[in-house]
Amino acid sequence: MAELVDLAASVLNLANDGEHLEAYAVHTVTTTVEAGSGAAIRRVDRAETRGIGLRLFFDQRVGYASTGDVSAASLRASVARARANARASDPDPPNVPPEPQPSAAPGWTRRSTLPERLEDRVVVVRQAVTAAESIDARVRAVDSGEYRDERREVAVVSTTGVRAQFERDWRELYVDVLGEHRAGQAMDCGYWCGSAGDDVDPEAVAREAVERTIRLLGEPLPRPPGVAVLLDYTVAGELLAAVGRACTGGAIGTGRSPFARLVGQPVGSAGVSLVDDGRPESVPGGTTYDDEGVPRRCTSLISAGVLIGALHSTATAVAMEDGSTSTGNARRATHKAAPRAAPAGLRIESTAASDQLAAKVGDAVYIQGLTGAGSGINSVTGRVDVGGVGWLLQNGAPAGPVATVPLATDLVSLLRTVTQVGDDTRPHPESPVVAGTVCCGPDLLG
Amino acid sequence: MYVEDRVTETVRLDSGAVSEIRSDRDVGAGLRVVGAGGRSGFAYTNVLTIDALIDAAWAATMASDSEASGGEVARMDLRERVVCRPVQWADRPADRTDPAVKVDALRAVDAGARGVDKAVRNVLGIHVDTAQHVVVATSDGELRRDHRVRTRVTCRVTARRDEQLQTGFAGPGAGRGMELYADHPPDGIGALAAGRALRALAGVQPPTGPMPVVLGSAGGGLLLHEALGHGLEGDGLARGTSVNAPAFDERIASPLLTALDDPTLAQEYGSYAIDDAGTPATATKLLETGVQVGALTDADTAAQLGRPVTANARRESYAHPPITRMSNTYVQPGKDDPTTIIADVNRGVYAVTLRGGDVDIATGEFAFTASEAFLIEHGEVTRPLTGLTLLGNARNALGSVVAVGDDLALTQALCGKDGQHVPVSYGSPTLLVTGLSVAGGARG
Repeated sequence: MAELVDLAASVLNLANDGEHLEAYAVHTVTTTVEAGSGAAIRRVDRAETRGIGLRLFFDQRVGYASTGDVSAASLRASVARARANARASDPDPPNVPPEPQPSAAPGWTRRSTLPERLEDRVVVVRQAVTAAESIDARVRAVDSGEYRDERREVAVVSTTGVRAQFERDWRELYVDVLGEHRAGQAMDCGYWCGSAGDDVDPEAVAREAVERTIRLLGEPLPRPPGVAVLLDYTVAGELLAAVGRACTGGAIGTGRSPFARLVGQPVGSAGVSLVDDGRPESVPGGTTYDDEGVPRRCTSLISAGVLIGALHSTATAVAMEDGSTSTGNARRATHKAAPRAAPAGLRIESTAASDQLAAKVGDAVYIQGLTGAGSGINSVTGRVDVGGVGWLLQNGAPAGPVATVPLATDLVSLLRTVTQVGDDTRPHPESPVVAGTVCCGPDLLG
Repeated sequence: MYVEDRVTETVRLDSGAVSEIRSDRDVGAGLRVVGAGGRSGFAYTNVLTIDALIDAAWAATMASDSEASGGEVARMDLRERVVCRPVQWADRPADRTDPAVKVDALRAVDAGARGVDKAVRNVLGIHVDTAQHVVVATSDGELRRDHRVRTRVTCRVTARRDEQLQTGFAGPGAGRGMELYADHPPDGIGALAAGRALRALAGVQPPTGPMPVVLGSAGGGLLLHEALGHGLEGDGLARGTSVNAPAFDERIASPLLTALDDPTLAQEYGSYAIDDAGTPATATKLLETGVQVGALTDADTAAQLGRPVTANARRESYAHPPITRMSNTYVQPGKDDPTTIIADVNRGVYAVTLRGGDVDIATGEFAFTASEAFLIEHGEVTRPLTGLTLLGNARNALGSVVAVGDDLALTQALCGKDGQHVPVSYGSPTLLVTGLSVAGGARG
């Protein structure tokens, strides 16, 4: 870790008078093990990346450059490119380098270590696939089981005095199961995500995959009118991720958000409270600092249905011109990306015990997955035009699949239909969101 | 071993001001070892020294075979026996163009969008160009090279009227340099995106239920890409999880449809001279008059399927293992006049472009959202529609194509799969499809 900080710091003396330079150095090691039918190992990947991203601030302009070649010559060339890019840019007064801020939390977030041996990872994925293949005769095949873990070390230093170093460890396991029935086939997955020290239960992931898949098998039933809608945690997570993107300072400040003119106003039912907390104790893979070296914190976005906050990087906070400060939400996907305000650990607060939700709602449509979510959820306009894949809940139990349900609404209308939020919260597979089962009124489906 | 040296230049113009100019250089090597039993190991490093490469090779070897242990390092005689001429090239290399020129182009995009209507509130223009040198060496002694250049400009317009927001998008790209702007004048790119946002603002709710759908070239191309192409990628076929797995030599689509994947198209966005496993590129016929005749493979999946290797191993970068992907996928043009196709529809919808969509390759079920659509009434394109979603099943949709136009055009995009994004093109002539269901909702 000291080596990474030294690497980042080594470029700072290349800044000229009147310039500020920020260096973001990253070292990531990712290991992936994938197994297929018969728990045969298909693929083992080990990925190691080291690189440095630069921001050069000069005369209210910013230029960016990055390189994976961290030789002294390459770093000098990258600083020169960043300088040339800054000179070709327009003035951008809010885009200033962060000043150092005190943080009581250490940058080291590791609670234990990731597996040292490859075979320890192989055992986990093999157990999951073997279990998935043996639970139910309707399972035709395991499409894939995949275990992945990542350790990311980051150092952010700048000529303004920022000197932050932190580490991000996480691991995940998923199993995709293909089920078959005379009416056709269906596929769904079980998923687990945790920090380095959390225990994974491969058989539980397999059971979840099989149960989710089997619920989708069978002749589609007609959708009864006027019943409640339950959103699976994956569906709720996907939709809340769009809410989170729409609640960033950049989106609200520039009007590119359905929430842009709604700060201080109700945007959801009284049962909706949404916070963002990307710290290690709140979300797997959380960090104590954001990617500008600003300490992370808990930010309330929606409280009892009222929009009260936004997520900020340094630049989006300054651009608000109302005294806002960074909420520690600057994110760089890699060293090649500029920092942008983004959710780090979005969480919808629960209002009910999840095991009582089914009993409370009676009959319902349970939407287990979405089709068309990649393009059908627009966080700028707020439009949601997707297909819902799911099943009927009758008398508290799954009764069979329903034909794809068109979900045509917008994010604000969606939040206004929420009646309960279950306490079965868990990390979403693809977004920094922690969500549980969300119960919505029947008007969600029109 | 796949070695890459890539320079990427990115310029963003947001709300009329340059918000980012960046230069990224990425150099690295990805090593893949296929061990006994087909288990593969992959490792990569961006430290290009002999010692670091050997370390990565050992990591990949041990990953491919847990019984492996250290051994002798031997020198090989690598030969470039097949020289593949690049299919992408630049007359005006973008990586050697002053960033101020790219800024000027984006300012013209911005002006083109804002000149359409005062309802245009925000314009985000992004220019991205890459120059990529690739060398692939294999343990059978082969060494192959490719040089790829790509330039793309995207414009996203946000328009507001009466508290309603809508967005419009345009994003042409090519396997060429700054000459892209000669074929696609920047002010026209902005005007195209703005026009789409404004038509969405004026849009009405679509009718719902099964009805004839006319797909424009971008819409039909995306349907082909998502509903057929992904199902014919070798990895899903080899696992047996694709709905297309048992359907070779069966009719799965209308006899009017013949479709190809062709990475050799000159200067197209998804083109390459060799794939990312070093196989020389060739065109692959996927559908022949509606019969499933081809699959997109690499060496591994071809061996598992007993089918030819088709040079479709692709990766986002040296840091990703190659997987089977599409390149430029399209439906061959038919004989119908597009205006006649529309004139033959009494009541239906015309989906000019689709914003994207998902297909479950296990079932073929899909949902697509239209980014630009119109109502067809009595053979005429009338009112714009907003919030239109197309639901269907791949086989039903492709089997119910009843007319194919003579107006093939390609659209450029980044295609995502297994966390990797690669540049692709897709396209079709105008299609008339009867097996789709239209859904939609209240205006946003």
